[in-house]
Amino acid sequence: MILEPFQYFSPLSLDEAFEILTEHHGEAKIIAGGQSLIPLMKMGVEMPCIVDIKKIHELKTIELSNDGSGKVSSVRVGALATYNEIERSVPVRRNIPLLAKTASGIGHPLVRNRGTIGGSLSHCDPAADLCATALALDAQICITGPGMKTRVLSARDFFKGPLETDLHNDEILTSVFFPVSNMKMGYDVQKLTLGHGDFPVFIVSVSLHYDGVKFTNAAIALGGVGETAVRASECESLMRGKESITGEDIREVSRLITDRYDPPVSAELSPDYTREMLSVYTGKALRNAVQMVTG
Amino acid sequence: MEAVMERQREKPHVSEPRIDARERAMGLAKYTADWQVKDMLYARIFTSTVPHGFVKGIDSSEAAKTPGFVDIVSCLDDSTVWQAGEREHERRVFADHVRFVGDCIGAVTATTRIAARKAASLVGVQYEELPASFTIESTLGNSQLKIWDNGNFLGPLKFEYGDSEEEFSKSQVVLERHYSTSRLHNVPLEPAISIAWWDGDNLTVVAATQSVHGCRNGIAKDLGLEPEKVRVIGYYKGGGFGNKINSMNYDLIAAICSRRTGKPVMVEYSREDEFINVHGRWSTDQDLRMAADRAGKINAVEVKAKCDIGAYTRHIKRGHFIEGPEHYYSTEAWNAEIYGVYTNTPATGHMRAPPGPQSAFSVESMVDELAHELGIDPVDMRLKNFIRNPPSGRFTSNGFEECIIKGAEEFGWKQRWKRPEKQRNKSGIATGVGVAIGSWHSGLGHGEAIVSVDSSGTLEVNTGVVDIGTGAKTTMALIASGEVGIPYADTRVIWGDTETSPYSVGESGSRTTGFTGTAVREASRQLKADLLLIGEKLHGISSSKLEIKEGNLIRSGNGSVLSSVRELMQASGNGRITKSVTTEPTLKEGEERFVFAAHFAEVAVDLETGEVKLTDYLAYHDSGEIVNRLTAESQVQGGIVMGIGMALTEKLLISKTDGSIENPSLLLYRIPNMTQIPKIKVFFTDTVDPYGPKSLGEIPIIPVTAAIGNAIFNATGVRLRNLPFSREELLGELKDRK
Amino acid sequence: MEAQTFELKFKLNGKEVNALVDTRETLLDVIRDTFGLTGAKKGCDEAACGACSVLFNGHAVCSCTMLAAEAHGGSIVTVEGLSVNGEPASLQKAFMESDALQCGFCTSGQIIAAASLLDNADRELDDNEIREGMSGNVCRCGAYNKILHAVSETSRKRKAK
Ligand SMILES: Cc1cc2nc3c(=O)[nH]c(=O)nc-3n(C[C@H](O)[C@H](O)[C@H](O)COP(=O)(O)OP(=O)(O)OC[C@H]3O[C@@H](n4cnc5c(N)ncnc54)[C@H](O)[C@@H]3O)c2cc1C
Ligand code: FES
Ligand code: FES
Repeated sequence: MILEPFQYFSPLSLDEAFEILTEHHGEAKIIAGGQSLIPLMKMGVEMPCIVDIKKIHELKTIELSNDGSGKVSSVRVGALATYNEIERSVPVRRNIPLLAKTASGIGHPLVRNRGTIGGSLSHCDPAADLCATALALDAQICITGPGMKTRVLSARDFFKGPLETDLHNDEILTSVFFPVSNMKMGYDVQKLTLGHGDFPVFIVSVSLHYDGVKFTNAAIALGGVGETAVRASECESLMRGKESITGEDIREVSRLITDRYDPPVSAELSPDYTREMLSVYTGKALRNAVQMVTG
Repeated sequence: MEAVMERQREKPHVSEPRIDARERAMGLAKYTADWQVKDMLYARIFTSTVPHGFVKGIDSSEAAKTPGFVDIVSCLDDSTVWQAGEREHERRVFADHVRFVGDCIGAVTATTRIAARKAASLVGVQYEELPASFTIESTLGNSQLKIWDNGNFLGPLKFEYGDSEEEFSKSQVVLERHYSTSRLHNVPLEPAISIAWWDGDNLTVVAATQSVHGCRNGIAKDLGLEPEKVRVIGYYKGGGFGNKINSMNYDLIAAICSRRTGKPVMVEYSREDEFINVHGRWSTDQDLRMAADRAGKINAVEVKAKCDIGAYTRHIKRGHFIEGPEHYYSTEAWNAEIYGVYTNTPATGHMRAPPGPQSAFSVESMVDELAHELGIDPVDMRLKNFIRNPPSGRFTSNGFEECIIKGAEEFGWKQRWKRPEKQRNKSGIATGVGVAIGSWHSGLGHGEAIVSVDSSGTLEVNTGVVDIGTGAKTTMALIASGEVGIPYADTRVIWGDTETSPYSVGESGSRTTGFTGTAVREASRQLKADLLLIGEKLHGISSSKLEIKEGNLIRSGNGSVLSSVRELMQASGNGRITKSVTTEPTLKEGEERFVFAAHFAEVAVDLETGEVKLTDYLAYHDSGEIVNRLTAESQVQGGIVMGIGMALTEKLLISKTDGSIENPSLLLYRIPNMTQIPKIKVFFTDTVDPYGPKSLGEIPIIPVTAAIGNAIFNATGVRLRNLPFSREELLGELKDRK
Repeated sequence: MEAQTFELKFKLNGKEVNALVDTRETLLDVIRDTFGLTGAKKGCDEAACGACSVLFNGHAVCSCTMLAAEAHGGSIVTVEGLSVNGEPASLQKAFMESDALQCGFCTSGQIIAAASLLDNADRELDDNEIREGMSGNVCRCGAYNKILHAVSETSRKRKAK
């Protein structure tokens, strides 16, 4: 039950939204899917002014965008795309299947019909599924502010800390660009949860590109092991450029990951177990990803 | 193999959808929260923030400023005792001596839910704090502690027969083990709720109760009213599993707040309130010893248990916190010593077979350990030892052997069970199978029913059942329809209101079918006899040569239809024939009445993570004659699902620093969802009990945890002895053995 | 701050409706209290049980974790809106016949979640897809086997058409 009264606005355009955000500067809070915000409001966090951006239609589209030569270079996912829409979107499934797979595993279906990519990234929970995958996929985040000033920054620069991003109070995350590769892809996402549909304790998102000879790209993103989701760059460099990734390589990477990263403390699991699981789940994700490419 | 069936059943199996399936599936069934009562106010409780202390003062000045505030009541001005809330001691509805974080101190009434909640959050309470304990050990080790003036524990409750010491000393194999189970919560999907209003001295309560009459009697007693002055209405309920028994404190709070304000009042618990303020299952710490000879005959069992029963515990029959397995096995000796230990934590009480699953877990795990030690197939171990008759006396019927043998057959036990070291282990996943058995009471007692037929030939069954999801209404209708011979489709039920329906024990203790159902059967028989006599007059054929089937009077033998029941009624000139019956069946000297079950589980264990997935489940039950296969199967599956939660995910986390519940939320207290539940096959024996259908509601949860634990052992060779099973512990053990 | 209101308009079970609501009210509260449709239930108020599921623009959502105001201009279907001329829809009949309901408190939500799953599927669903698709709706009575049966039968029949 929400106890604190608040004003509610639902602008029909970005312009209108910025007007409201500017007028209620510092007090206004954007609501997208509401699947994190409403629980916070019920917990008693005061939010005197709620700005619902869901009537701004341009934030909903998922589309392919081409580079100059007409080749598909990225998929642009509008901030309001729900997890369910992402999971079912043909352009996403075809070009960035890791994103579809990640979206399909968030919480449960009722949450997936509501929660949005913009909301998840803006909320910036260190263990959120999409934060890790956005990092693994080198997502570019598009932000617009008053006067339609737009800036684009990498997911890495966007995430600042637990529940903290580079967004200003009066800015809106409008869309997320995922670069598309025409190489063979191997990917997986694995997470430790305490129950089906639970928020992850930690999450490992892996994306590999293979050009037929070698692994041109190897990305491992981890959620839940630090202040924000992170890329395990030092492990990636062990695999990038290799012609094959062996079981021994995977074990090595998994070991390195447990040495370097601290999984979170959970009331029900010991730090030792969680740490060990980080290596186990990394191993599982890598094995599955490599198998997709080579097997 | 001995003849296991007392008598072959004569009637075909019945499998009918619920009589109210339509209302439930269309969203038309009206639960307590769905009532819209004119001018209703909302009350919200406020509770203790300290684990133990005396309330010294209450400041309501801020609360009273909230727009919509109407009234506040607390332990300072109301000392009503909730007698059903604690058996051995006095528990007040509003505690002045608070015993856990969350103990109810008072309630605020307001015009809206939001206002009531807001105002309640603004009430300030001053306490004089007292020493507190949050664990069994600290309660027993702290002489300063006074949770209750006359001692901090109940017991020891002793139960014994035979000469244990003698049996232990002469047996060739003796095992000693420790097992533990966690504090749990019933989590009915409908949180606690009650609406009350007064009309002069007459009180009406719309209660989410498992028993309208129990609720009425409890409220009347606590408020000092004649039972006739209290009307309790309870139609649709969102489950209870033992925590909506009789009168609950929220019923009393609604009545108290309504009396003070002169308006109808709804008390509605949030999910968090439900976790904290309504009782759940107590935890157990059990030390077991078991003695057997080399051939696998179990000679003696010794159980020493301490149970964390929280700050209050609701009626538990003679303090039986561990109970049951003495009715699974015939042993020479049995010896149990049980303590219920109070702690400054939320209350405990009934939850589906209150002591049953905790007790079965330890004993059925240990029998498995013993079988392994002796190199005996776990099913054979049970067959060697299962109980045929109680130590002194005999069972009214006993299909235990059939459950074990047929269950094993249906499950394919012989093909699937291999010694643990020989189990399959495919790409990091180990699978294994387990068995466990159980038994449970099947009481008989006072039942009342009114069964009638009207001039249209419609059969009407009027009982005081509430149907919390057990299918009680359907069962009553089917019993009547089957006895009288009028189609189920032409049967109506009247239920759930103390004003219109005769007494029923309600849905707890698996008693409805045995108690109220017996009265329905008797009334139906009498009604049928009357109808046959009318037929005799009408057709000049002796009633002994007549039958009623499908709503028609027919001639025995050739089956020719003579007239419909409607025509009989019209011929009789009666608008309605009514039979009002009270039954008081009792067992004969030396008889005991029990139900039995054997369960079989298959698990897959991820050897890298220790994660356990249940992949197959089968249950074989003797509950006597099954009135309705379809709903009976659902009852069994439901109990098993709850048992799966108890085995794998459910646990109330109790704070070490203040005894509060750390996970009072469905996001953190994990009940199973559909992804965790395999196909559950259910079978029933055809056992016929001389006293009619036996009990069914509780037994299904009893063997589950041990069946799963035994399957985990079979898959991995690791024995887990603490519930819920921890994947971390499992993985740790797996590594230690490497 | 004083309580704030919002002039809400939306389609409820096919009919245009409107009401002046407190902005704090959830969609669940408004459907139940203002419009008297009590099929959707409050089991947790935190998107953890699914008892409050309704279809919002064709997809099942937790109405307890949605502001009533957010429904403005949208279309809501509750369990009451599934029936056809006062008779249960085939999915509801499947629930009745399979005994996919015990206490019934989760049932409205289960049926809505199933409707969403089936309406948005372009082929017959297998058991594991149904399990995943229904995983936001818990049933403490444990009717899962029967719910699975009801949904999979309906899926099969729809495919056969
Ligand atoms: C039961 C349950 C289970 C869940 N399980 C998971 C899980 O397993 N994994 C997981 O990752 N998440 C999980 N979540 C959280 C869910 O993913 C949320 O949907 C997500 O965290 C927030 O997205 P939203 O669209 O709902 O945003 P909202 O709740 O509306 O907003 C969240 C925050 O982001 C801001 N915001 C939203 N959109 C924008 C925008 N376009 N521009 C600027 N700021 C914006 C809001 O102001 C707010 O601060 C779960 C939630 C629930 C209720
Ligand atoms: S009440 Fe909405 S999910 Fe439980
Ligand atoms: S039928 Fe009772 S919770 Fe599902």
